Amino acid sequence: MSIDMSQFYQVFFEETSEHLASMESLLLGLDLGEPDAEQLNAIFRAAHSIKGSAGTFGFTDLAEVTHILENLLDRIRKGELAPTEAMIDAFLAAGDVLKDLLAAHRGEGEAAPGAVAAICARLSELTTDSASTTPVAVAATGSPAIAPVSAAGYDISFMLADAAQDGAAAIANLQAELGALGTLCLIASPGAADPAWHLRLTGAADTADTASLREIVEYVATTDSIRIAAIGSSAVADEAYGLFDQDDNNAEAADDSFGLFEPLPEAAAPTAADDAFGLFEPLPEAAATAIADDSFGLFEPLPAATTAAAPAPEVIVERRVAVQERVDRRQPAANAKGGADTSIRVGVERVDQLINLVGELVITQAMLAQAVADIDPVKHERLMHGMGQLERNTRDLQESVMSIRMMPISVVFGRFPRLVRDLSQKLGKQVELKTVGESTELDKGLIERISDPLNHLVRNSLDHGVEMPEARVKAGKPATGTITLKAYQQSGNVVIEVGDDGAGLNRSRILAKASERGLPVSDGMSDQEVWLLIFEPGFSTAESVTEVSGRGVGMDVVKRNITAMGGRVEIESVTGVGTRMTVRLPLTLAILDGMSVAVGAETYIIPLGYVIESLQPSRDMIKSISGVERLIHVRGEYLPVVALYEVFNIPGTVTELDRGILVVIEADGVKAALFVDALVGQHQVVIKNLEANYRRVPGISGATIMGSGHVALILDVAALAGMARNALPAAA
Amino acid sequence: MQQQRAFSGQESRSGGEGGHAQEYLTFILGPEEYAIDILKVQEIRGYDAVTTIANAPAFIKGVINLRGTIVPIVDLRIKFNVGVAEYTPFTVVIILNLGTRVVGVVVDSVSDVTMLRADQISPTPEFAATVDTQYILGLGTLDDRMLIVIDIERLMLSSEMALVDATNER
Repeated sequence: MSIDMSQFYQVFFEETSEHLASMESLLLGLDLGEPDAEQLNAIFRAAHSIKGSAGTFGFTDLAEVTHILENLLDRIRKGELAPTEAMIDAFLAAGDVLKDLLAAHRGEGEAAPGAVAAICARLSELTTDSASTTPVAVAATGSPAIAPVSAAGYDISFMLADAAQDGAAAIANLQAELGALGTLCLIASPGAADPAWHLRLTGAADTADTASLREIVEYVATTDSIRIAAIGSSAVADEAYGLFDQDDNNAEAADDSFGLFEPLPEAAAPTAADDAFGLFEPLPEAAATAIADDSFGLFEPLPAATTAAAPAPEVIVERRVAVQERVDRRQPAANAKGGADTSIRVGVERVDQLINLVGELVITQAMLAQAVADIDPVKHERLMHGMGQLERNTRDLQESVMSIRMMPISVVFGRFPRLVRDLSQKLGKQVELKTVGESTELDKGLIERISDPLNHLVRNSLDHGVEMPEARVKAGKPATGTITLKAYQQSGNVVIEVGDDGAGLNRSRILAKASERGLPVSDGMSDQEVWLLIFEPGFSTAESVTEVSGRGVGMDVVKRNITAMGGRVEIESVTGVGTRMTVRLPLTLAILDGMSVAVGAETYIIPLGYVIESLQPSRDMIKSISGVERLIHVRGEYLPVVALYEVFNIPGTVTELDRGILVVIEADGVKAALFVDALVGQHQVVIKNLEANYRRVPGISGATIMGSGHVALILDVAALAGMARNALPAAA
Repeated sequence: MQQQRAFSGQESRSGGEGGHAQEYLTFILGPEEYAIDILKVQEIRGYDAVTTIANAPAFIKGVINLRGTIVPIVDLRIKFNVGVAEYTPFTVVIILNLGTRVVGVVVDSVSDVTMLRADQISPTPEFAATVDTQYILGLGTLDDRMLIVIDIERLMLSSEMALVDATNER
């Protein structure tokens, strides 16, 4: 049976990246003094899911690191170890190693050799270090001086490796080997329901620990099926339940085989991804409560069976079979309920196709609406009614489909806590990151493209904005600086602010630097103009180039990227109080509010965002320069007129300025008046790429399809405004 | 792309084995009959209103909405300077699918689909014409008709059609 696994790899990579990201954010959010059990569990689950699927797909290096990570996490969440700053650092580092490994598997980059071993060692060290100082965990290290030898032991479960599958000899060997360490007893041998072996080793000498046992078992077993648990922890479980106290063996058999009896109530039962164990979640009662906050509930349906279960392992196996059968029928339903399944993965191209189709539907609907416009509404009441309904439904459908592409900005914001933490440590600054409006949604395409510029802005705030703690205290500010990331929607735009309460921009230094670089500056420039200088290429006022910033690349790239997205950046800064960079982006790249104008027989769309006003000029507003009527005097300003019929060579239009309409536009700070024949209407239009099958056309930014099914071209207002400036002397 | 073109060109030009035949769509431009590789043809439709593009060459009629895609329309009669560029209800647009691009060409009419063996296509003699002979793969002979076999993909993507940005970036 050879299944092409590669088709699942992509899903695995994506899921693992997500797990890693959520693990990281949870780790960063963890309050060390008072760790929230639910958070710890979530971290554990993330690590566990990675391990599980990595094992399934044969990425043993990933599985190996996560296994050690999981061990440590498991003990933390069970309260055996207290989480420390060092551990969090190690976890974060482990996360990075995992990311590198993942990237290497994806074929993007390489994992540093030795990084795996190093992080494994670091994590194991943490595990053992703390173990020897934490009394609860003593049983795990099996120190005979404190814990009685008879109480220290290990439960071992594993599945035979394929190579050794038919080898009873392998088991005998293993038994002999383990037997040499202590008293070994067989708890369960593989059955139909559970292909794993369950052994119990007691009275082991203190030289034995989970790692060494693991090594022994690894000779015969598949690596990721091995589970070794110190009995110390299961003893805790026993007490907690009191269910099995008459028979220790029984409790352990259940414990080691399924881990159902999590000793902590908060131990939210893993999802279906959680290896074989997940199978047991969907018991009717548990499924009803859905969130398996309370793993104990699982056993409610079988209290009699549990207590009555004979010590003999065979019986347990039988019961397991019974449970499993019940579970099998229930599984699909339970899967559907699982939290992990509330979203589906769909390729972007499919979504785009959907958007296209809905766009077509909207056009068809508009066509029908035009066709029935002349029909007598009294005679055809039902048809009219149906048309109205079709229109509403189409609009709703379009809105819902468009919203598929929308994603919350938290996807981008989510990576900053880590960045701020790492950077502030490196720089010796104390910085707190605040995020506001993480649920603000914007187009997926924008999300991907905004993250780099934002990254630059945040780094910049951290490096240049926030001062060192001493300087802050001296300035009468709290030692900990604050960087605020804020996102919200404002009139068809998404606004993202990156603010800090640092020193603010230094006007004189920027000016000095600018004149040093030969930029045209004067002392009379407004603050706003001065601040914009920092977006000039190669501009940096940092005295020294640091790892973080100061090379002066970045801010100009930020500006360029944002402009390319149809957005803009603004800076506000007050010396000593802080700086705020505001990025304004269009909600989506795919839809545009447009005003349609007629020029001759053609219809053009002007993006509404650029339009300031439209007016029919009176004779006295029109001014001429060297005999050509080229200027219009509106509200105290002289604006250049761009006649679209000239730009686009359209015959048969209105040529007298006072007989047409002037649309005043502003782009990149340049104002101009576009001369058109008439205003047609205002629409939301779907932007189509003209360059996909054709090429760039000067003055045109794209195309769209009108209700009639015809194509209308969208004007490139910025380019037209530029033309106004350049065409002026040429036309004269 | 270049290689692919060279390959398809060679395929139809190599007259040696003679048995290998390809299907061609033939169409009429004025008095002339042309043939193009049928695999490049996506569909054939009527000519309806196009949106003109400012400052484009005369043979680029404009763009149409082809089920949500913006497709430029080229009038080959104007480009090749044959026939009269009239637009009647019978005027036909051949929609070509050239790899990543979709382009429509206006022709007088589409005649049929023919099989042409490589030995039925003779090499183009060198002569001066409005069409650069480099886009002519050869002259096909079918009964007493002469078919001008053109490399439509190469022609459409060439700079002289002005359908592609000069930088060739997109």
